[in-house]
Amino acid sequence: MTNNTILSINNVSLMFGGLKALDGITIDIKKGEVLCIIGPNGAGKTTLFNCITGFLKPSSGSIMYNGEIELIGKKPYQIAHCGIYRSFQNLALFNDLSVLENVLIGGLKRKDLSYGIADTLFITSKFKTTEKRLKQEAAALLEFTGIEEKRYKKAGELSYGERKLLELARGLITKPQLLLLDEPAAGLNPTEKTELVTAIKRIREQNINVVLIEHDMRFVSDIANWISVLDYGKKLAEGLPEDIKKNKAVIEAYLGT
Amino acid sequence: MSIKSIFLSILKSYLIPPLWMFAIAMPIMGITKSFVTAGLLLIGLLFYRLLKRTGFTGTSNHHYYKDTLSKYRNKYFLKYGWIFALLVSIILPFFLNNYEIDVITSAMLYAMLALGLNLLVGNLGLLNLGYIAFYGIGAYTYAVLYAKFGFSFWDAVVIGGMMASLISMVIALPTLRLKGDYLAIVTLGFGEIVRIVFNNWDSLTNGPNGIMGIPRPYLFGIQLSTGIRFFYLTLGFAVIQTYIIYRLGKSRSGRYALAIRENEQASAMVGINTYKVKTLYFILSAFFGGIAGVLFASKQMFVSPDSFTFIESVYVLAMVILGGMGSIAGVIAGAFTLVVLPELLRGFIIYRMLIFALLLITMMLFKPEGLLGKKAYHDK
Repeated sequence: MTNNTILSINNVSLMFGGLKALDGITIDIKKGEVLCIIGPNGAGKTTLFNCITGFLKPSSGSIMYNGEIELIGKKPYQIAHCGIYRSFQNLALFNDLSVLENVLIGGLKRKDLSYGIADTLFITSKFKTTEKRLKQEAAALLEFTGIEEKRYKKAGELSYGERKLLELARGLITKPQLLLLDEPAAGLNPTEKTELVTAIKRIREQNINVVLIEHDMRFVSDIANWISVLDYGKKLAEGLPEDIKKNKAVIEAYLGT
Repeated sequence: MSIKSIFLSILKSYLIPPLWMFAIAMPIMGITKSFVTAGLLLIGLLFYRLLKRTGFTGTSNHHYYKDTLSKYRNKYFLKYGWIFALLVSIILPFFLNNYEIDVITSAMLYAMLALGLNLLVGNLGLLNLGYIAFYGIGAYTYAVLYAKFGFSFWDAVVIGGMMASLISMVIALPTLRLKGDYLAIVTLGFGEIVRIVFNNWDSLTNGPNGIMGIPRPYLFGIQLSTGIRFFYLTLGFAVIQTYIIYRLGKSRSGRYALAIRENEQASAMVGINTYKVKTLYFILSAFFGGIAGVLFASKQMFVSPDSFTFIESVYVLAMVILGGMGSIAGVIAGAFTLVVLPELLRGFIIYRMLIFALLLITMMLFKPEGLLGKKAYHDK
């Protein structure tokens, strides 16, 4: 385990009753690469994300973060504190709150943007400056994701694509080291997809590691440096996008024999 | 919009509720009185409309503004609205008789309770059906401490609040993993247990007879024995509590609560320890309940288990719902409505519960978000 691995998933298995949802998955995510996990429906991609972020507990294996922190057994909020943020396939936003408020909530865990109860009660200058900085950062991220004009709208009123972008913005304000995106491009139109690709590339430049689950092969080959293919809870193949496209086993898994 | 549709919408929002009220109230109250009630409802609706126009209803803790204009309007009205309300309540007692001052004082106590409960129900979306237990614990703490050890009011305020917090922690730690209805049932059971303990622990609480002779507090050597002095004491506590809750809603703490109410999974993902936040809110809300209880004990100068029945919990919950969950001004308005209204309707004491129920049903039908609440809870 070298220092350039941000997350190493080692032989992780998960049983749902008699069904092996994950069967000895081993994936290393190197620093600086954009890893894409692909696979047919029910292959266990989201289940793997749930294991990494603590929503499910694998029956065996280990998930080491930064080579030293064991993630298995930690609660989701503790994992978030480690610097991992994930988006959900079916979106998990605060629908009745404004877009801005959604992003502000993301800033709650930031140590550098916190203040105490006394600051709140007596409206100290620390309270004012921190709140102002938080709002500036949120505004900057909304601008980055291109949904700035919608800041006072309710999150639930946004279009599907905008909501995906909002989830991304809320994640970025937490200053994550590792960003797990569950089907970020699903349901987006072609223009939105191109915008998302640029956004992810720019996120990558800020030294944030990105792991994606995706189906759209064109989208995947645009941004991924490395692809892992899952099928029936097993790792079927991994490699560069070009190699995966030619891999016989992968084509069979997708199209059937 | 055609003339017809305008006419229909006016009919729907202004005339149907009073007519409905009239039809239901007539068999009970007779024609004249129900006519007056319906008229009052109409005036109320118009007045509410006016408030809404001016933007005063946009209170509570989320910064959800449609445009910058209404943002400033809100700010303006919030700031001066509160100052105005405070001034009115300071001057008010000089124009009232003792009985009226007493009613307003207990309305303020209930407002404190409702604000405390609103921290849970409105901000976090947790239902607590045994909230009155903390009120009782506060009241009994003062009564017992005075009767057994001669503690003063000011010591008891601190200890009463802490006592309620401590006991709330004992109940919160195992039960806050529960959600919705299950939590409601546990808290309901807790409320009953506390009342039954008061009723049966003769050696400490003097059983159903209660504890008498609790003194009014002293402040700077003056005993707050008259109604008007006690009014100001209660007002002081109520203002401090309201301010604390208002500030909490405007800051990180408020954001924690909103996040958990809206989506627990997403809250966990941005690093919020939902269990811890819920427990802290539970304890804080119990603390306020306990302090209100100490005030209650010294106001009545007497405590007995009868004051802390389940129906009182429901009463406080009704204030929160009627006023509008999550909105501070709304909850205070709800408390005042439900305390003052029954006093005005003294003549119909036997129908009180009926009218009460009617009011809530009407509310649920026409304004499910409460008097001054926002539609944030009903995503239409």
